[in-house]
This record gives sequence, structure tokens and C-alpha cells, in this order.
Amino acid sequence: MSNRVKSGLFAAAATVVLAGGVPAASAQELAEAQRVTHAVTAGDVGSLDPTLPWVSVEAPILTVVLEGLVDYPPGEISMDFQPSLAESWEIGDDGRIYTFRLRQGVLWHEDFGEFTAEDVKFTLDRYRDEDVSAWASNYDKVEDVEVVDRYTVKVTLKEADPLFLALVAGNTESVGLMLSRAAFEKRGADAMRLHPIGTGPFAFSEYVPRDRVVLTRNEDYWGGVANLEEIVIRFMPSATSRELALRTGEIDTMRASIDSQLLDRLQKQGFVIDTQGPEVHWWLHMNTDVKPLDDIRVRKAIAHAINPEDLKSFLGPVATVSDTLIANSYFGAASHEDIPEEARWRYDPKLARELLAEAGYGEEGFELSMIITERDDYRQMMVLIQEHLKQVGIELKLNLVDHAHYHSQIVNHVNPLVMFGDISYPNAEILLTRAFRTGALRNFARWSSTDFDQLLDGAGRETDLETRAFLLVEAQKLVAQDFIVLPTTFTAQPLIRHPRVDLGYDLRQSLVLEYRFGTKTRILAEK
Amino acid sequence: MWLYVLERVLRTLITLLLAVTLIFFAVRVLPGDPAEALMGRHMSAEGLETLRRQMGLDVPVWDQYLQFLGNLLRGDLGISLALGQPVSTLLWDVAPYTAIVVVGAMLIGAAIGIPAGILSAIHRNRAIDYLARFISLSGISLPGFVIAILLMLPLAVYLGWFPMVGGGRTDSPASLVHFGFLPALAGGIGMAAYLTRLTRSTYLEILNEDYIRTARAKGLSDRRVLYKHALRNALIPIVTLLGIYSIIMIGDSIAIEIVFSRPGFGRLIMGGITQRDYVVLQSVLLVYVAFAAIVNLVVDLLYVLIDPRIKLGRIHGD
Repeated sequence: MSNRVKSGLFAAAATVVLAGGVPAASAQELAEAQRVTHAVTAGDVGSLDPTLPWVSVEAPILTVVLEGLVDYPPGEISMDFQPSLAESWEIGDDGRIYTFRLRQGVLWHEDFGEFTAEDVKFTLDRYRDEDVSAWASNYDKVEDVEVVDRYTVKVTLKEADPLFLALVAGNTESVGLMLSRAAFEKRGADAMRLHPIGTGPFAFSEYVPRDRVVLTRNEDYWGGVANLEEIVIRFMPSATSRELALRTGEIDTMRASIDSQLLDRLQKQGFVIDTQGPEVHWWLHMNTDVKPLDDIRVRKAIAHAINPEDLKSFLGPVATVSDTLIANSYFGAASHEDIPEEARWRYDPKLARELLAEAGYGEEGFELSMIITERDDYRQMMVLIQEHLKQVGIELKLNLVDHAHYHSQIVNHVNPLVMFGDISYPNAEILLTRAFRTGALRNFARWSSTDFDQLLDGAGRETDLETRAFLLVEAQKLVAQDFIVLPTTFTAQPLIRHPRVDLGYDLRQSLVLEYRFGTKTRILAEK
Repeated sequence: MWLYVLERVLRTLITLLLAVTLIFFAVRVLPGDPAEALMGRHMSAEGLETLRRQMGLDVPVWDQYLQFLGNLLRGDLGISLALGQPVSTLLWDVAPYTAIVVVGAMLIGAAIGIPAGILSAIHRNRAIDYLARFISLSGISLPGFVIAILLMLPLAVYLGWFPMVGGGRTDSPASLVHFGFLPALAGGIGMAAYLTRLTRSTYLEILNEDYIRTARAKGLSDRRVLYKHALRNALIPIVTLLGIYSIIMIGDSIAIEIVFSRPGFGRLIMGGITQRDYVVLQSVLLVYVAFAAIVNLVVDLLYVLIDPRIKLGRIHGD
């Protein structure tokens, strides 16, 4: 236990470096055009106002246009927060009061004046407002935001929260980024939805629906003017086109599907493959409200029927198979030893058949029917699982639907089994709260345990990190013992870049699932 | 003649009204709504209600329908729910990209397909016929987006003659053609394949007709028989197919736009589906239907020009 905490909170992400690293920094010649074109798999952005939900498509745009009060060290997610728009901060009253001293002379893009404490108050109040913000519940603990003077702001929490800084940090796929009060007041929230105003190294320049977003260099950036003149984010839903365009040089970087053959091919062609944590958790939830999954013997049988090695060989080197629930790069993850042996997930089809026979399904087995998204990773994993279940006499019927429909329907609990890939700030508490708390939106197992809820409540109140981690491990044991979810696999995110793109930092972990380009990112001249 | 035109125009208008109604309700049958699609899984129920009110989704569907029809009569296609821009602007912005692919594909298809079909028919069961039949069968069997990828590899990836990503600049016809050539070729090859086969079979049928034998017996030259008497009569099915194919091409252009990462109507539709943007969806579909109806109308009217036997009387006849 103490080991895990002492070795640094989120130390040592399980990243796999497949090829190359950052090319040597100094003696390289720069290319004439300092422009990078990055392809995203989505067909368009949803919104560029971080108050509304945003995901990996918007993240490479928002996190370079807007900034948080603090930031993580480049290429890393840790508790070692660094100054960003706040130059320094103090934590008082046993962790309840955060006083931020803001950097002076930081200018908003497009002449919206100087960034001040008023903007911080406006931003946090906006994020807390349930009527406009998708993230209001994240800020439940904020009691008050007070402007002390032009460059000082004081945030009072209802109770101490050692992870509060993560809510005002950059490099994220949720909240934290500072908004311009003047811009919102002058233009109105509707106009701001697709035209972000920030303080970051790149300013929003153009949005062409379904085609691209263009960002240009902020010549007044407080942190030093960036090398790149322009960042183009292109929406390219076709996997084949992305791959070919990478080869023609029309795009420089992209996020790759988790597909071992594709990664192999790209590596042979000389592209650099970066893999970044934190891991996505591919959890298979079992709905305990549905017969016969209400019987723990049946759930155990399903768990023992699934062969993790098959999933791994499909997903390739970015995947790790796990018999515990949460990847060990996450704070508070239970280790192999923490989980009692009988509650660990392992492949044992013989045991699965015995359990089914015991539950009365020995002869005929039974049938299950579910919807599954057409997205490759989800679909292919479920097809493998379908085959595994067939071996023990369970007929699983898969009905293909589009991705948006899948996500809108699984929260209505239409499926007996739910495959869901979840990722968060690397803290087990977040994943556990989302998936297993009584009545949680994504409690796909429809499981309810007072003990579990109490453990999580306790962890949330606990300021001693070691005790907090202990409580989280206890909570994971409860989940494991009831066989309501299978961990299946964890995957790191593969990102592909042409060797001429020098990120300017060593990428190991990021909460932005695409590349986040920095001031030091540059394009090298090709030999 | 004018009665014939009037009757066709009226039929077209009725078709359009039915289609508009069907589309309006069909897009609303999709599970989930734009507010949910925008807010995802994060939003509180109150927040969703606020958003629905802002989007005008809280009024009864029937009122929304009447309002939609009213706006339509004034030529107003509405404001996109997801993008906040007028749909007509969105459509006009991308229209050149879709137009160049559809028109280009038609031209390429006709330029290859009609001569190939005639040659194939004239040289029936000879090498040239077998070759044309083989190629056209392959062209029919391969979907447009597969052809697109097969074209990309040599012409864009290895030779680098054409770009693969984007649609070019709308203010420069040369750039539009440069970016649009491969997508148009991808669509045009499939069309050429259909046209080759249709032209060939029509031609063969016609060449066996009595009037061709008579023309030959009169001592007319081969050229005159083949290109004047036969071609004119073969035109009706060919024009029909051109009409139908231009409608198919609009559909095909969706896949082609995705493969070539081009902006266009198809991408608007795809985005409209994921964002449950009813306004964009119904308007783009409406444009498709209107296009199909107009093409049908034009084809019907062209018959009159091509075949003088089609006249007023035909209305009462069929």
C-alpha cells in the first residue's frame, strides 16, 4: 500500500514505446512552412465552448487556444502541478481555501483585454451553473469564488479536496479552461459556442463545418511565441483516407485505431508511433436486473468463458490484459494481490460450463440479445466475446447500431451486457463513482451496495491520501466479488506522427486523447 | 404539349410535398434528439430542457411541421440546430464541391460509356466487345468508394498528381477541378460501366429492328444507319439512365466525400445524423428529393424532344 503512494501518485504509466522517440532537439534544420495538419476521426466538432461537453475531437483545439490556472508537466499527468495562468497559489484552512495569484499582462485573443480575477470568477461560476454547464456536478464542492483584487482570486471549498487543482488545470478533456468574461458578454454564449476566445499559444482562426478548424499562432503569447505558425485540425472519418493522406503528406499526425496490423504497417513505413496513457478501461458490465444475469453463477460463468488473450491479440501491443479492475497507473487501483483469488477474473471454460450447469443452463444454455455500436474497437471485441460465449452454450445476438445511438441507449439499460471504454483523470475514485455508485447514470450493472457507497463517501472526505487509496481498494474488492463487471483489457492510446514533426516534449501521458501541440512543437526539414 | 408539361410539373409538386412530409417526420423518429446529442451524457435534466427550449424542440411536432412548411414556402430552410448557421448558407458553401463531383462523374461516365457501348455492339462477340463487357462488369461490381481507393493509390499516393484531402478553393475553378477530378472519376467509372452495358444491349436490339434492315436495303451507308437511325432511337433509354444515374450519383457522393475527406452535401448529411440536427437533415434531404424530382421532370420533357411521337395524346393513353 504505502509503496504505491510513496512512489509518486500516478507514477510510471504503462506506456509502450513502439518506435523512435523525439528526434534530437538541437542540430536539426527547420522546415520552411511551420504548419501541422492533424486528422481526427470524428466528422465534426460538437462545440468549442468548454462549458458544454467536449471530447477528443475538441481537445486538441481547446487545450491550445484556452488555458487553465495550472497545468501538468508537459507530456505527463501527475500531482506536480505547474503554474500556467496562475503564477502561484496557496492552500489554506486545511485544504479548504485556494488563493491564486494570477500572471499579469496576459492578453485575451482578439483584443478582449487583459486576463484578470474577474474572468476566473466568471469561468468557475459558469462551470458551476447547472443550467448551462455539463460539468456542474464536478464543481459541487466549490462554495464560493471571490475576487480579492485584479490579480488575486480566492476559491473556498465546502470541504477539503486534495484533487481540486485538477479542476482548474489544462491538458484535459473536461473543464478547467479559463473563459473570457468580456467575450461572453459582448458576443453572447451562442456565438461563443463555435468561436473560442482564449489566452493560449494559438488563437482560433477558422471553422469550416465538417471539414476543418484552423488555429494561428498568438504573437503576443506570454509563454513565448510558438514555433508553429498554424495548426489545422481536419475531420476525416475514413480510416483508409487518413492512412493514405499520411503517406501523401497531406496530414502530418493522427490518432490511430487500436489495430495491431495498422500500427505494424505504419511503423514499417517509417512513421513514429507514440503511445500515451492513461489507459482506456474496456469494461464489460453485466446487468443484474436481467434474467439470468441476476444469478451470480451465470455472471461468473460468463467471466470465466471469455479469453483475454484473444482480445489482446486483436488489440495488439497497446493492450494489457488484467485480472483487476483498474490500471495501476491510476491512483487507488487495487493490485493483483489485493483481490481475493476467487474474485479474480481468469479464463476457465470448464469452470464456466460447470457453473452454468449448476444454475440450470447445462443442457440448452440460453440466449442474450444486445445492441452494439458499429465502431470497430467495440464491435470486434464483442464479436470475439460472442464466440467465447458460444463455446459454453450462450448464444449472444449482436445488433449493430450507430455510435451515438449506442451511447444514448445503453444508459437506458436496454442491454444485458454493456461494453464501455472509460478513461478519466487517473484516479480510481472517478471511474468507480461513474460506474458503480447506486443510481449512477453509467451503473450499467444496475448494482446497488450501501457498503460500496459508504466506502466511496469515506474516500471522498479523506484528506490522507494513503487512507483514501485503502478505501478505494476495499471498494474494488466489493465490485470484484459480485462479478458485475469484467475488466477485459486496458489500452494505451496510439498516436502517429511523421518524423518531421518534433513535439518538443516527451509524450507519456495526456488527458487529451489526440496530440496537444505546444510552443516548442516544430516541423523539421526533411533530409 | 403545354398540358403535358403542366401535368408533369403538378405531379412533381405533389411528390415533393409528400416527400417533405415524410422526411420531416422520419428524421424525428431517430432515437435521441439534438439536445441530447449535443450535451451527451453529462447534462442534468433541467439543462436539457433549457437547451430544447432554445432549439425550439419543446413545441408540439405538428406546430414544428407547419412552421417548417411556412418557412419553406418563403424559401427559408431554417437555422442549423448544431451549427447555428442558416442551412442555405451551409448548402451554398459546399454546393460547388458536390456539383463538381456529380457533374464531372456524369460527363466522364457519358464520355466513356456511350462510345464504349456502341463499339461493343457493333463489334459484337469480338475482342473489343469481350473487353468492354469484362471491364463494365467489374465497374458495376465495385462500389464507388472502393474504386475511389483504387484510384487514390496510384494517382495520389504513388504519383502524387492529385490531392486526396479537401475540396480546393471555391474561388478558383482550376483548384476545384484539380481536387474534384479523382472523386468525379471514381463516380464516373461506375456510371460508365452501366452506360456501356445499357447502350450495348439497346443498340443490339435496335440493330435487329425491321427499319434498320430497310435502311440498309435502301443502300444507306453503314455510318448513316448506325449513327443517325440507330443512335437517335437508342437515346431514350440512355437519357433515362443518365437521369436516374445523376440521382444515384448524389447518393454515391456521400461515400466519395468521406473517402476523399471533402466537404459537400454528403458530409452535411452524415454530420446531421450524428448531431441529430433535424433542420440540416430535412433540408439537405429535401434538396436531394427536389433534385431527383427536377431531373425526372427534365427527362420527361426531353422525351418530347427526342421522340416526336410522345405528345399530348400520350397523357390520355397511359
